[in-house]
Order: sequence, then C-alpha cells, then structure tokens
Amino acid sequence: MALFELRQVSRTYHLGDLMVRALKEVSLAIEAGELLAFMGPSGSGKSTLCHLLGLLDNPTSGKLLLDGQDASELDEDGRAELRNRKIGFVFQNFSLVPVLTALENVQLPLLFRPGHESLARKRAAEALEAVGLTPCSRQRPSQLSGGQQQRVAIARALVTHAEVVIADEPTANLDSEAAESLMDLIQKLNAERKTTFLLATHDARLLRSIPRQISLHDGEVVSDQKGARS
Amino acid sequence: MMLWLTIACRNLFRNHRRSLFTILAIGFGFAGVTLFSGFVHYISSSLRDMQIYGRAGGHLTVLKKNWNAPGAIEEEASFTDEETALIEKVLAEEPNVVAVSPGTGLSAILSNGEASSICYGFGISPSTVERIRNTARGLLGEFRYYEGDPLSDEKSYGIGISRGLRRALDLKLGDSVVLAGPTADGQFNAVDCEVLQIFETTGDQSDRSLLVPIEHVRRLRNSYGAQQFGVLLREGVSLPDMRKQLTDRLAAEGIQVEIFTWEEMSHFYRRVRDMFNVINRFNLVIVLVIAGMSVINTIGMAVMERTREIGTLRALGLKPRGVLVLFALESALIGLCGTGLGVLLLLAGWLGMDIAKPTWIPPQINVEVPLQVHLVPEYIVLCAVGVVTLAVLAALIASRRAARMEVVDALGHS
Ligand SMILES: Nc1ncnc2c1ncn2[C@@H]1O[C@H](COP(=O)(O)OP(=O)(O)O)[C@@H](O)[C@H]1O
Ligand SMILES: [Mg+2]
Repeated sequence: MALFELRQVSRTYHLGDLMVRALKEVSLAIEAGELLAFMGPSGSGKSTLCHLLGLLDNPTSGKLLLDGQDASELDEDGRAELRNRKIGFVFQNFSLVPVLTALENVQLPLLFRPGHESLARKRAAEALEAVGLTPCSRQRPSQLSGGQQQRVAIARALVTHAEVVIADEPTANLDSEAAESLMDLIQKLNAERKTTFLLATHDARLLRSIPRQISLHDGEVVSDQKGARS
Repeated sequence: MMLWLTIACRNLFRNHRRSLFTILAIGFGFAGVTLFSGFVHYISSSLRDMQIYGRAGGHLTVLKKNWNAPGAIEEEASFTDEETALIEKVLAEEPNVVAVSPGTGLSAILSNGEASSICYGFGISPSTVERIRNTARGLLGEFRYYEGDPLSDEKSYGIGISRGLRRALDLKLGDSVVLAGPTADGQFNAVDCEVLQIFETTGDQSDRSLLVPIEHVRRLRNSYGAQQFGVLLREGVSLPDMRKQLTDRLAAEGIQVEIFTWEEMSHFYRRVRDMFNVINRFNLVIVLVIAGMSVINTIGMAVMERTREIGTLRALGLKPRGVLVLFALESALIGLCGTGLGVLLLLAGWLGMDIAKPTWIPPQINVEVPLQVHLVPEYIVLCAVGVVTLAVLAALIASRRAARMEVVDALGHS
C-alpha cells in the first residue's frame, strides 16, 4: 500500500467571484521511503499540494489517502493527532518558536502528546545530533543562521520518527552553499533512515540528485519522472 | 506543561514593556479595590463594635412582642416589674450570655429652673455598659465620645446630655436640673439630676437626647420595669439560633418577646454598609473592565504577532484547544504578576497608613477618628482568584479566533 494516494484531487479557492483552481484532478501515489520533489514555477500549485499532503487543508474534490485512511473523514483534532504522529514540516520562512532554544524547539511535537516529557529531551538531543547541531542546542533561533534554522526544523520533524517530512521551498531563503548542504543532509537522512521526504522547489539547481521529480503547471501534473539522476 | 510555562514566561519578557503596563494596570487596580474594601471593612466593623459594645446594645436586643404595634404607647411597650425580673433571671442562667444591659426609653421634660425642653431619655445601667465596653477595649480603642465624667451606678442622679440639649438649656457640667415625666401608671413625677457629661451624638445639633442611670429612671417612673435588654453573647455564637432559643425559653415562662440582632437594631450601620457596598461594587466593576480590556489588548496583540507561530504549532499537531491554553497560560501569568504587585502595593498602603496614622471626621460622628484599612484575607484571595479568572477569560476572548483559524491561513499570515 502506498504511503499517500491521491485520486483526482482538486483544490479550488474562491476569491470573491473569482475561482482559482490551484490543483486540477491530480492523481498520484507516493511510496514510503521516497525522496521526491514537486517542481514548477511560482503559482503552479506546489504549496497547495504540500498543504493537502500535510493534512493542513482538505481537497475541494477527490480523495487523499494516508496509509489507506481517507483524510477527509477526520475531524480537526484527529488530523492534528495524525500530523503529529506521521508528518514533519519544514517551511520556507524559518518557522521556529523564537523564545525557545534549538533543543526546546525540537522537543515541541512530542510535548503535544501527554506524558512524553522525558522522552522528548532524549529524542530531541538525538535529532539535533542527526542534523549536526548538537553544539547549538542552547541557542535561540535568532542566534542561528538560516541554514542552521532549517536543520533545526528538520530535527523537529524527525523527533517524532515521522514517516514523512514535507518541506515547502526549504532552501528559498538560503544562500547556495547552505542550500547545497541542506540538500545533502536531506539525502543522507532519506538514505539512512528511510524517511520519506517531499520537497517543493522551483530551484532547478537542487534537483540534480533527487530520484523522483513531479512537475506541476497551472495545477496539473505535467511530468512524473522516476529514477531521474543526471 | 513546563515548556508551556517557559514559552509563556519568555514571551512576557520578550514584550516586557507591554506586559509591564498591563501588570501595572492590574496591580494598581487590585490594590485600589482591596484597599478600599479594607477601609469599608474597617468602617463596618467599627460600626458593628460601636453598636454591640460602644452603645452596649449587645448582639441581641430583647423587646416586648408588639412593641411597635400601631398605636402602642410607651407603657405598653414596657415589661412589667415581674416580667423584668423573670427575664433577667432567665438570661442570667443562659451560659452563652455574657452580660445583660437593661434599657428604658422615656419621653420627658428637662428643666434648668428657668427654661425647659422636651427630651428623649434613655435609661441604662452604667456598670453593665462599662463592663460591655471593657470587653471591647481593644476594638474601640480609648475612643471617648463625651466630655465630663462617666455615669455611675452609685451617683445615679448624674446624667449625660447631648450637645443639642446643652445648647437649648444653656447648661454646663455640674449644673442641677429637673427631669419630669410620667410614671408607669400615668402620674406625673419629677426627679433632681446633675449634668455629669455632655456627649456627641450621631444626630445633628437639634438632637435632644439624654442618658440616665436606670436606677434614677426607675425612681421617676416608680417602676422596676425595663423596655429592652441588650444581650451580649460569647463571640461566635449563632445569632439566629440564640434568638430562637431565647424566644422559646421566655415564651415558656409566659413572656412574649421579639428579639432583634444588632444588625437589625442599627439602621445607621445598615445604611452605611449598603452605601459603601455600592461604591465598592462600582469600583470593582471599573477596575475589572479596565484590567480586562488591557489584558484583551495585550493578548490580542500577542495573538496577532504570533499568528504564524500558531500556524506552525498547529501544523506540528497542536489542537485548537491547545492554542487557547497557550494564551490563557500567558494571561494567567500576567494576572498572577499583577496580583503579586497588587498585594505588595496593598501592603505598602496598609503599612503607610499604620505609620502615618491619618484621621478623619466621619459623617454623623463629629469627632476625629483614626482612618484605617483592614487586611481581609478572604477578600484578598477572592480578588486574586477573580483577577486570574478574568485574565484567563480575556485571553480566551482574544485568542478564540486564532484558535479556530485554518492552519493554512495562519501559516500564510504575515
Ligand atoms: N489562500 C488562497 N486563496 C486564494 N488563492 C490562493 C490561495 N493560496 C494559493 N492560491 C492560488 O493558488 C495557486 C497556486 O498557489 P500555490 O500553491 O501557492 O503555488 P506555488 O506554491 O507553486 O507557488 C496560485 O494561483 C495562488 O494564487
Ligand atoms: Mg509556494
């Protein structure tokens, strides 16, 4: 069974009288352990797709199954619990809680579960080590570089042993060196831990090493290339 | 939960300026309300002590049944000699009764030989009154409300007159006067008296009242009968229970009485208390509104600034309820800090007054008395709980929209 299965998923926004069809009947399947990128120009629907896959939003029509479960059958609390257990997020704008240290930020998702306080510290330390930021555990986001902040966000996604990490333009605000090294980290984690990574990006430079690339245009899948390594 | 508190604390510090102003608003409001209510408590308890001890009214006042029935004249409101003796015996046997102070009202004429004035006299037992006052020395202080000498059982012709009477008859201490009035069976009688004291009244200058040792009143009325008995009880005895018990006990002896509590007897106490309670509630409402608004404002701004952070936390699995908890905690913390500051300000105010010992002339007392505030722990705790509850409610109001917001919208918030 596929990790994600999308069956003719559409998402339409209503702006007053205007109807924006951000996604048009997208169907695809994503297996556990994949490293996959959604590509396409700005406005092609990458973020919308990420939000749907991340259970942050519901399709206007069509079905989205996560581990065979229909996401639209869950209520808000149920989706929150599912996100917490299975999905990690890395956003374009650095999304750490500014008043918390790196280590505390990484603990957060586990603290949404009652009774996980002691586990959280241990796991957070491990996750920070996995992204190579143990020395920065006690620093606040404002004391970290953009690249470091995104690594903390990845650690925060890994701390729950999430099955999938969804990263929407994680490198958009990084210089190319930091962007390269973030991509290396993502590849390494994907290879070693078999964590599924779904990236959205329009930065073609970073795509060289990504095995599956899905191109979107105006809300439609225009190509889905597997094993594309150049 | 620890981390939630950490987040709340650090966010308060991060916006320390904003937090500080809210905390100051709550603190000063809290101190204002508790100081004023401490003052009200001081006033009410002073008036209570004044009624129970100062005027020797006791906790309960025993009156003849139908004492104020329409058309009842003074004589019908009095107990007979036998009834009076029996009531005194019954009350003396009751273990919860500490002292019994008999009293008799009397409409009479006071004359200085040249001029005379109608007056309303009240017969008291000076030794009992003194004993009852002594029970409360600590409470009332050495508050003296007359000039001249105290009345005494021995010198039972020595009377006290109000300032109004002194003016009307141009009297001074030591003057001889004649008190004339009806006896118990309707004859006219007169006795010689000496002005022993001139006292303050709560009434105005035209108040023509008179205090006479009850022995002397009995001589004038040619009767042992009293009109009322002030009953001082042990502290803490339930007044309604005692009232019922005494009423039944005396009824069994064939005497029909009506018993009133000190509160029912003191019209003045009730009026003052009610007035202050109104002012107090008014203050409370103003302070609550101001404190509530400033908390709503503070939390509202925090919610606006941190909408994207809320979106991130929601994405990571925080439920809408959790968002409310997050801000409620922050707000409760503001409330607690405000309360803490408020308690400090209250103590400072209280200590300041204890050192400066300000005085004032209350309405209807006509003498300078100390102005105090009482620390009433129950009220302070109640206010603290109220403030924190209010803060939490305000936070819920300010953050409920953010909690209900779609995660995607919150994330996209700039
Ligand atoms: N909340 C929204 N309301 C209205 N239109 C939206 C909203 N979010 C996205 N869109 C529209 O949907 C389309 C796809 O947007 P998006 O998924 O953000 O694309 P991408 O991430 O590839 O830039 C765009 O035309 C965008 O204007
Ligand atoms: Mg986008």
